[in-house]
Amino acid sequence: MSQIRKKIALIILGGTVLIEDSPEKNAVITSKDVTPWLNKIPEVNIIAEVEPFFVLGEKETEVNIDHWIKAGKIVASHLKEFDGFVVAHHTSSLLYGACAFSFMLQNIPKPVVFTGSQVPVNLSQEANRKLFKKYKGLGIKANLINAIQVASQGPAEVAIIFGNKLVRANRAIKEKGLNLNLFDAPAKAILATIDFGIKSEGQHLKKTVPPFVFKPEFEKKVSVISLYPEENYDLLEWIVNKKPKGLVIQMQQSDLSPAQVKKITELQKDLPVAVHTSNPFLKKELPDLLIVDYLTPEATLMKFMWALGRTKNIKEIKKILEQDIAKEIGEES
Amino acid sequence: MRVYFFRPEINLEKNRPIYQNIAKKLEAAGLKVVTKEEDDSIFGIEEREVAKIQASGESILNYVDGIVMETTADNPEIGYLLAHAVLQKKPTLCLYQKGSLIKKTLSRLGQKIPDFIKVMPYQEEELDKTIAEYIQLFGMDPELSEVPNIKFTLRISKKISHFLHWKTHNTKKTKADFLRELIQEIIDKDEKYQKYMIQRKSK
Repeated sequence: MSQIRKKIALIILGGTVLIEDSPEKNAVITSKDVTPWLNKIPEVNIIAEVEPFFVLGEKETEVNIDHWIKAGKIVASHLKEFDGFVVAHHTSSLLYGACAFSFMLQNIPKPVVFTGSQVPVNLSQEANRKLFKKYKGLGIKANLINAIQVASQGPAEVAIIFGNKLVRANRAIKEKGLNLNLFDAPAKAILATIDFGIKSEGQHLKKTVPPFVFKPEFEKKVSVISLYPEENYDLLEWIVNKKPKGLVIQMQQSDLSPAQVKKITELQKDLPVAVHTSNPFLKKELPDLLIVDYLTPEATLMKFMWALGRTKNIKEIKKILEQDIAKEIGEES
Repeated sequence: MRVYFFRPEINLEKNRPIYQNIAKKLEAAGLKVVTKEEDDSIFGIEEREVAKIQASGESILNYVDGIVMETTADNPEIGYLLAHAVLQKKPTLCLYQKGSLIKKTLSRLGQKIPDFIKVMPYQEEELDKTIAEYIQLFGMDPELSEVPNIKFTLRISKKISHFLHWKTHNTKKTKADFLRELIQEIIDKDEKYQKYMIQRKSK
């Protein structure tokens, strides 16, 4: 029986550097570069019919929430036309973008796969050549081939693929340095591994229960601060004086001092504050604070922004944060 | 020298004897055949090596010298493997049963199929000849395989052992990786050897 050729949308938000030759000539800088760039990757058309959508090129402004919403709209409005979606993205902020996608594209019935190149666009030709020799997989080609194959037949959710690991986006952790498997996740959030093909974990292939909903409202004015034991509160005051609409405190310690608890309690009278920690006992000790111990730091920020986009009521925000929206809360939590 | 042999799972029971025969002929031609079984286990590469490749994030196709595919039935895996074969310029043999149509996936290679990919019809009685052509056409000389599959025992002094440990400690490289890369660098820089190889190829 002949297979129907799959149609895949490729959304470009950076991360397009091919490792061969000079990177500048081998990346999408502006929308005009898309066709010549795709022509340099004939491999992808062997797998599927690929249609590009340009949102942002290399060297342009840093990717932000508006770009993600724009890209999300492309997915939502072309959902029926394509079998799957691939997002090429800068690696620096990819995790935030992929988390944002997972919350705004709820119950997505098709795969959305983030990938990209780890090679910066301004690398010298010599440095690029050395990288190519040592790490052939750092450019986007191999990742893109894998991403397109996953988008053609993989699990219906937002995922990230680098190297030979496909992971759930909102549970992913970024590895440090140059690593072909740039993202990892807890065992239950590893959706597939690559060997001579895509080896999917069976349970992840189950179809998502409809209806699909597109909810692209995010509160953009949210600040993040790391809290250390010796924290003096000047920086915190400075941030609060900038009048953010929400604040995420990333705890760099296991416990909060009584003075810190007092300060956060004061702050949350006028401002939604989420405290992200890896300490699983803190929530029971401090029931009056909005403690998040069940999400990654990136998922916490994006889910908090997304929740604030829906309501400013702290009780409702807490309810949304604790609700499993896109499989971001692990079964082991 | 290792080749990955892909056979689609469609009508596997019916076609099993044909696939087994192809694998047998490949082995008889001196190739080490790697296959992926129905339970996803990989046959032909040690489990430990597969785990190491998985952990490194590298493509497992880097660890085989060539690909042989039975492409009579259309299958999404064929396009995927072909894409990687093109990317890695991997000598690839696409076999299809004589009399059947060349599948759409293969036709997407375009008018000009890269010279390291061979699409060949076969009949069981001509299989030996087809495989021999594949090996010849792609110059797959077993002596020049880059796959580290030859076990080599080397006695070294404590001093060298100490150095190797120091050099590879806290890196993702094993001592064997370090030594292999060092030898590869020597090969790359050895002009006499390069000249010899060019002469050998031209013979």
